[in-house]
Amino acid sequence: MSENVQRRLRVNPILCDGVGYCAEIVPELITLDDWGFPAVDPRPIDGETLLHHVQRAVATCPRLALLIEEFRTDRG
Amino acid sequence: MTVCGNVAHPGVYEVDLGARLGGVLAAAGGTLSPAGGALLGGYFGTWLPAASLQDLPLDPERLRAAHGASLGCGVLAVLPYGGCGVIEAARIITYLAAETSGQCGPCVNGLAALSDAMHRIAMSEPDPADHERVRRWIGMVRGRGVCHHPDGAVGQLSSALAAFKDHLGMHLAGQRCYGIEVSGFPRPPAPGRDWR
Repeated sequence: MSENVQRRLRVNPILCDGVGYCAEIVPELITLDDWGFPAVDPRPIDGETLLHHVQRAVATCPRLALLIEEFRTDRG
Repeated sequence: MTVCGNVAHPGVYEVDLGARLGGVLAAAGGTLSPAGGALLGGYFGTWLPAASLQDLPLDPERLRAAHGASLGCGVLAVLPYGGCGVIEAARIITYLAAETSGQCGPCVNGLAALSDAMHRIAMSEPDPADHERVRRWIGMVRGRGVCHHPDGAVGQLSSALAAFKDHLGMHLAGQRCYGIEVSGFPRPPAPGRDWR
């Protein structure tokens, strides 16, 4: 059994004001709902390029409402 | 369980989880008029169609399996004959939209939008897009708050749309629903945020 660390993008909906930069930067993972608030794809971030974009989005958010969360998946 | 609405003796009753809902209704003196349906589990609960009430098992696993329902806060509110679950659900979503703590965008905006659209549907004056929008917004709001206030609110609403399909069709077709004049189902308090 090996442990595998993966990353996913999360939004703190309390901090989020629906500014919307994140959906411009990573439309692969973030879509805006009818009111301009981000809905985040909870699946693991796949690939270095996408991770780079995600990091850019996290750094750009004026509300600091995005974070990259690491989680472990146990593969048997 | 707290039994209220369309029953002879509203009140709190001790109930064996092996019982069926018909027994609970009998303990509360029976219904005053034939039940038009019921909301089980309070404002975050599940609407059940009238035909399912009598034989409904109360143990949690079977409730969940049969109707996706749970006892929730333990309140059973019985709809009077001729009452309309769509109208009552619209009243409840309006109340719950006003009760948002105002922290998360999807809850603040989503419940308010659902409340407006459901008000139009309840009055049988829907915009052509309202039905589709309500369905979409229910999915759009669910799971997007830090707390589960929006989840419970849209769960109640979606169960009402499923349990009162016929009523919903009438409302969407613009037919006047006489359920709006039927009293006997507990109404939520008037939305107000004065105390804040």
